[in-house]
Parts: sequence; C-alpha cells; structure tokens
Amino acid sequence: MKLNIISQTEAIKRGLSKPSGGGTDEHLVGVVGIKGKNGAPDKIVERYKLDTKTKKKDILYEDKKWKEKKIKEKINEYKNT
Amino acid sequence: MIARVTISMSKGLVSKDSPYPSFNWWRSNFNMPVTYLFGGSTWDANEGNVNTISPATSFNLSGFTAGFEICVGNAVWYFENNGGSTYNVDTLLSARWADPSLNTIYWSIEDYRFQTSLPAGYWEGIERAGNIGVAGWEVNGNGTYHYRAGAVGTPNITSGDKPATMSNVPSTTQLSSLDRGAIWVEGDDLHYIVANKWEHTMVGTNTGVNAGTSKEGSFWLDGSVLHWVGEDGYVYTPQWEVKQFASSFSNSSNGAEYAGTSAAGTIWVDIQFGLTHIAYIAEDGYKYLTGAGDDPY
Repeated sequence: MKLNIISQTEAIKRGLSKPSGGGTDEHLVGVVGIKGKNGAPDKIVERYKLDTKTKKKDILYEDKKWKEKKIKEKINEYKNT
Repeated sequence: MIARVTISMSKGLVSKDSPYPSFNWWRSNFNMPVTYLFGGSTWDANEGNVNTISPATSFNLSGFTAGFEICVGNAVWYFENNGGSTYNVDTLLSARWADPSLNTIYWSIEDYRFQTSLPAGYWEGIERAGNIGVAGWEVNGNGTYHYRAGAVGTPNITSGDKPATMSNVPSTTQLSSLDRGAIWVEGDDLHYIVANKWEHTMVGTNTGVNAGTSKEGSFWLDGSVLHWVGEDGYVYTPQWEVKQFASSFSNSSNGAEYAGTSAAGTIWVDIQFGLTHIAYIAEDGYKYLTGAGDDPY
C-alpha cells in the first residue's frame, strides 16, 4: 500500500494524534497483609491501585474477614468520637 | 513499627505473575505506552509485585541517541505494625529522579499523603516506578544520577538512594523545529526527525528480497508492517511495531486508535507519548507505532 506522509499538525487535525505525554506513572500500587504465625507465610488480604491525581482507590482484591474487620474498626472509631 | 523503603534500579520490569507482562526501558523510544506491570497478586516486601530485568547501577550509553530511555527506578515502601495495638500511618510519600548534584529532575511522586490504619500484626506495602532517558532535561551528561524515595510524617522514612552512573552520554542538542517530521531512506536505514527535534535512525531487518537498486528509497505498507528499499536494493522492515494501546503509566485516554481503513497508509512523525516515534494507520484501520529504539515489549 502506498504511504501518504502528513505533518504532525495535520495528524492532530485529523484526530489521529493527541499532543499528550504518557511517561509518568500516575498510580500507586499497594498491598495489605498479615504476618504469618509460627513460620507460616504472610497472607495478603487486600490489593489496590491508587490514582494519585484523583485519590480514588480501586480495590483489586479484598479478603472477606479483612473487609469485616475494617468495617468494625470504622464503627469503633465512630463510637469513640 | 517497622518502616523502610527499598529501591531497585534496572533496565526493565516484569510482573511476578502469569502472563508476565514486561517492559524494557533500555534503549527504547521515549515514553512508549507501558503494559500493565503491577496487576499481579504476588508481592515481595522489597520488590513489590515485579522483578527487575537486568538490574544495574552503571549504564554505558555507547550507541544511544537523545530520545532513548535508559532505566527505571522502583521504590517499595513497607510499613509493618509489630506493636500490640492499631497504628495509624499518616505520612507524605516522595520519590524523585535527581541529577549528579542532587537537584530534582522530576518528581515521580511528591508529598503524597498516605493514610492507613494497621491493626497489630498487619503490614502494608506501596510501590512506585519512574523511568529516565537521554534528553537535555533528563540525562544530559556523564555522571551519577539518582532515584531517591522516602517519607515524612508518622512514621518518617529516611530518604533511600539508588545511584545510576551514566557514561558515553550522547549529545542532546536539538535540530531546528523546521526539520521535524522529515522521513527518508539513507544507506539501508530509515531516518526521521522526531517531534523532539533529534535525528533517529531505524536499522531495519533485511527480508532477503532484492527489489533492485533502481527501487532505492521506495517506501510502502503491507498489512501492518512498513517496508523500504535500501541503497543495496534489498527490502527492509522495522524491528518492531505495536498497535497503540492505553499506557498504564498515564491516565490519559490514549487507547487503540481506530481511524478506519479509508485512512490506511497515512504516516507521520507522532507528537503523542514520548514524541520520538513514527505513527501510521495500517490496513486494518488502526494506528500503529514504530521507532528507532529497541522493542520494549
């Protein structure tokens, strides 16, 4: 197929390109775990991705017991205030 | 409370989990879309959920051109509550690339307020990577550069430092902006002036097909692959190309671009991502990227 060279300006005008960067990571990746007892391996109870611009937390995995524990902690925190 | 930051320096990163997506920054075009490396479920307190590819603290840039990436620093913060009651973490996380005088080149993350409540016996890890390349505003001369990370607050983590000593750093002088966008065959290679105004040279793969020297400089598209005829009359193809996808290193909506088959064959020096690659619309109507750097995927 024959090629048709166009300018960057024309590529933007035709919607084929956007003058934007894509270099810096805009996320933090995090994991919550519990230490294993008596030599047992640690257990991961939550995995998440944080958007550092919007501060939005995207939970990728959450252990059921950990979720309940977090809710109870929140309730206790609320009761103490 | 046990609190620390561990920093690695390497040419690339690969997920610890299947299907093991990887990205090699070494000698790749600036800021190409990055595959999602951090989605795995395996975690190491010092490495996060990636393994390093070719870890190193010194980099010989012989054969490099301005507009090529060099390496990536990866910081992993670790907070472990080894006390008897809940610990409330409230600290500012920072990570940055610094020049040989420790002046900031750019902040990978700056004073990000991280708050979490850790019950006794629990730990939390956080990960952040940042890459660096050859440019007047990044690595622009020989010397020891640094990826540094720490935290200020409750708890404090003294700034950790991972050095990256660069040698044979090429010139970062830019050409006139009038030259941007030119594409031509010189010798057996494809040359172009990138959007950041450096001349890049794509050394192609010789297909073994001899079109004859009368066809020298011919340039066409077959499917999703560029072809050109070198001075020796042989047909060459790029060493790699990739259909554009949304980079995991950006929140911008730079996903697959479907321009339609009527736009097939359109080619230009792109101003998107790292401003150092060629873009074109392939016969399937999608936008593809290729460049003089090595294949990062």
